[in-house]
Amino acid sequence: VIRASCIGIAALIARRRSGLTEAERLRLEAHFAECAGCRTDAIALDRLGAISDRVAASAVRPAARARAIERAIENAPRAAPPAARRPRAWAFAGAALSLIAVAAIAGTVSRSGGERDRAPVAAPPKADTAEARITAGQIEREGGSLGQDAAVPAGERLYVSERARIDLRGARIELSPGSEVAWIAAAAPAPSGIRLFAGAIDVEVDPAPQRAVRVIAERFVVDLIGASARIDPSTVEVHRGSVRVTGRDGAVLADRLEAGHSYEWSAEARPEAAVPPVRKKGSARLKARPGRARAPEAPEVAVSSEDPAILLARARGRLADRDSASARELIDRALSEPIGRGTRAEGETLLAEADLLDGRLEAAVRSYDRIATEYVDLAAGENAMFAKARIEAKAGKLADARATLRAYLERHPRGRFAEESKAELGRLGEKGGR
Amino acid sequence: LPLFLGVISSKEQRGARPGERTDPALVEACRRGDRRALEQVFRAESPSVERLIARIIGPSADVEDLLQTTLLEAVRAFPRFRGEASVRTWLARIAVHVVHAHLRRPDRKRRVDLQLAERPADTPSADVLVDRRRQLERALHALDRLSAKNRIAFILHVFEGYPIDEVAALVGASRVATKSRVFLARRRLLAFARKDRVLKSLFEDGGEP
Repeated sequence: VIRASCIGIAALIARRRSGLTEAERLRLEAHFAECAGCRTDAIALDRLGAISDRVAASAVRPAARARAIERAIENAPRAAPPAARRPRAWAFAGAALSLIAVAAIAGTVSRSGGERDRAPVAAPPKADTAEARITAGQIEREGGSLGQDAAVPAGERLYVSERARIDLRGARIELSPGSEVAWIAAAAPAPSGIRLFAGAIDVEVDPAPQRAVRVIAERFVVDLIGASARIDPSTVEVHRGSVRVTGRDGAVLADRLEAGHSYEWSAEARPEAAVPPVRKKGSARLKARPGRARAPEAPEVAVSSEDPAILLARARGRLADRDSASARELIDRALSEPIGRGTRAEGETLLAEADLLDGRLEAAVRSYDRIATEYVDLAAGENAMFAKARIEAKAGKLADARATLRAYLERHPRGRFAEESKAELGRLGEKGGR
Repeated sequence: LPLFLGVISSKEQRGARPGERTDPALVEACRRGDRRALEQVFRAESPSVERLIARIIGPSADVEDLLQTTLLEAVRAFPRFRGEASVRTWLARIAVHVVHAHLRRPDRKRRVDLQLAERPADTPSADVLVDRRRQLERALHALDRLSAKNRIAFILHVFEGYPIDEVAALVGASRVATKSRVFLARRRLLAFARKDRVLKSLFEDGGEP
């Protein structure tokens, strides 16, 4: 049976990738809490979307694309010289302004005396490509592709659709198809390196002094000196020499991971002693892969802390999966770190959402009330006030909801939820009662 | 197709998204038929066009052909391009119309290359790989049951994330008609998926996407 309220929700579900407002997101979540049909539809659409993403990601084939471009351009008419335009009044005005500007610049230059012969504009920045070059395959970048012998630009996100290789003095990096990376130019004391977002890379560094490459993955950093290893976002397999694996916060995860050993990041429990009292579980620990030897020097110690923003993002994901217990755990860990007011407000908002998910409406109302009071100057405070009103209305406390909406309109007369608040007040007024 | 390009020109007034604007001098050179400029623009923009085409028709050898047709049409239409929309949006509109014409061809045969749909970086197990391919095959079958118009509007809005207004501009339809197409496609697709033995798992919590 399709309920009338589900029809509007269907449009919101369909629109999630193009963006929802905070109010729409709250409405969707409230609807999901009570409508299993819409929830499963949303899950199915997400999964169909994931299939579509895989199709889109695998569509890029540089060779085929180059052929298509070449054939299309063969049909282009020969370039004609730009058509001469008749001068117009505004053109004369523009020319006069240009003359004035030129005169002003000339005056400035003449005042600077000996600097007259210097170029009036800053010299172009030096290429930051260092010594890295593509020696096999092709790499995609935003705005085009890089072929063989092209210098690798630093700091840009690069995509590899077919196997490619980057060479630098004394080291080679093989990039597997599907990899997403960014090149990092050397900046003493840090060696050159590569940031790995997705996929897998094989790094081979010549066993010579001063030859070092750093790989920064999402969870850890790998330093290779005269070593060879295969690295993906969660695993390091050493083939030659030894590597050092550290957490993103600098904590040592594996001091000397020798050839034949591997390190795998996993989100498993860490010892209670390693975490503050409010936290229950930790994040990463060294784990030997099945059938492989464990790194002998590797300590069984967890990463001491994580980026609170990442923890909160993960918590949001858990809430979307309706796993409030895990979400609370992550939020607690984030809130126990030294964080700013904005992040704290976000964390507390997520705790209120967890209350809502668990059906603890009173607790959610108290949380939103506290957020609205403490973070009155932040968007989170405004959101919380509106969310509180909606929950009160849902719980049948119509008088409280009306009071909260009036307070909202008084505090944020042109707020993001002003129109919705007025409409909601109208509806609640019709219902009457407490 | 020229009829479609007329629609495209009339819809050009939509603004470009931030960061999408192509250098006006480059666009001017393309209008004059400068091959280097065309190559530069096509090299920059064709990956997104290619992805868009693949999303709509599925992983297939036809993607390359349709990309080429899109670029050919763009070469011909460039002198009429006024630069009010971004080149990317303009090329997307041409691609949408090229794909629409392709989907409506009665002699069209689906040449799906299921190998293309896997990213080797995922390194899934053999079982997962087989399941995914089966799901992809069934998902494409489900999309084939939609009309070309509904399919395109649905994919652009729900999977590609274009707002309804932009989808309406891309397909050359009114906002109301576009919303209706998305709604109908969604309803039909989900109804099919619920009954399909393979796609049914998509509705289960923890099912492999």
